[in-house]
Amino acid sequence: MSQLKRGGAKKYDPHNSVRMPAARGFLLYLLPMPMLFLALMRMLGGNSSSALGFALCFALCMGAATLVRKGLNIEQEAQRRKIVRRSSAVPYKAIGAGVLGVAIFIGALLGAKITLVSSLLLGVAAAVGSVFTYGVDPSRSAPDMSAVGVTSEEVIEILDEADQKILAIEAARGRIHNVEMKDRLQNIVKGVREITDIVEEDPRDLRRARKFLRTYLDGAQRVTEGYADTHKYGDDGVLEENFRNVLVTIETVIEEQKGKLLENNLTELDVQIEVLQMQLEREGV
Amino acid sequence: MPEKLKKMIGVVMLVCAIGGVSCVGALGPSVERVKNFAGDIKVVK
Repeated sequence: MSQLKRGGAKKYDPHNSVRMPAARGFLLYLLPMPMLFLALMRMLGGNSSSALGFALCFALCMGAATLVRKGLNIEQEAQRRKIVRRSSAVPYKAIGAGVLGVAIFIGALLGAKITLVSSLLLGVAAAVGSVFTYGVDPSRSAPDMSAVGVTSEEVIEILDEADQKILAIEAARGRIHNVEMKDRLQNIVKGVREITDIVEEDPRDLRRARKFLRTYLDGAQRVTEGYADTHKYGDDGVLEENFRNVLVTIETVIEEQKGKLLENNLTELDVQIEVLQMQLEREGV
Repeated sequence: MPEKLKKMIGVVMLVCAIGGVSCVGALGPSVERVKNFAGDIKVVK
């Protein structure tokens, strides 16, 4: 008999595993709003140095908020796509915290005319507060972040582009009525998804799949959309034959690409097995 | 330090630092006026 309490099981929500950052980082946009008002008031009151201090502080705070949010977005995308091998090339959250510290220091010193030491303390408090609230960028020296030659940003960018192209091909496929072509396009989409899954699992494969995902997939999208657009005006035997040939070529390229990526993983596994075997033979148990 | 506590401390620090500058900025001229007024009273006395 199950001992599960009533209502104890949670409904599955694929987006719940990673918190959406829609509201994260919003505080950094909200909190400095009075600075803008103060800058305007000081400007109207004729206190230009104070107005400049608050205006500069506000602008820098907005920049800091944007940087922190970018860092949060990259982190969330990397988690969603399971890419944890290497951090972003730019430590956005750390830079954001630094900029925020400088902004508060300037606002306190020039805007609010607080003493130098107090301004410094407020700036440091703001920077540390940002780091505590939003965390730090993953370190490049972290053990699970081996140097793979590509950054999370690059992987996310290329995979997002590939997703867009796949959606465009699927949309064009919906406008084509030829069953054979539709089947071939479905195979192509399936193959491309398999390749993006392989890259997502191991971003090192991006070096080999980059050309395919950028150049060939782009070509496939353009050709499919072109065929779908002209196809609605009537069937042309030559065009159909050419399109069929292109699709066959793309299918072959996809199979070759998948083969290369899997072969690379197998080679790596072979090397690992060999190294382990040698180590066991040498050291013994 | 637990992650939740760290975040709470971080939010408090942010609110105090940014809000503090805004508050001092907003109240600064008024405080200055009160100080000047107190100074004037002393002078009159």
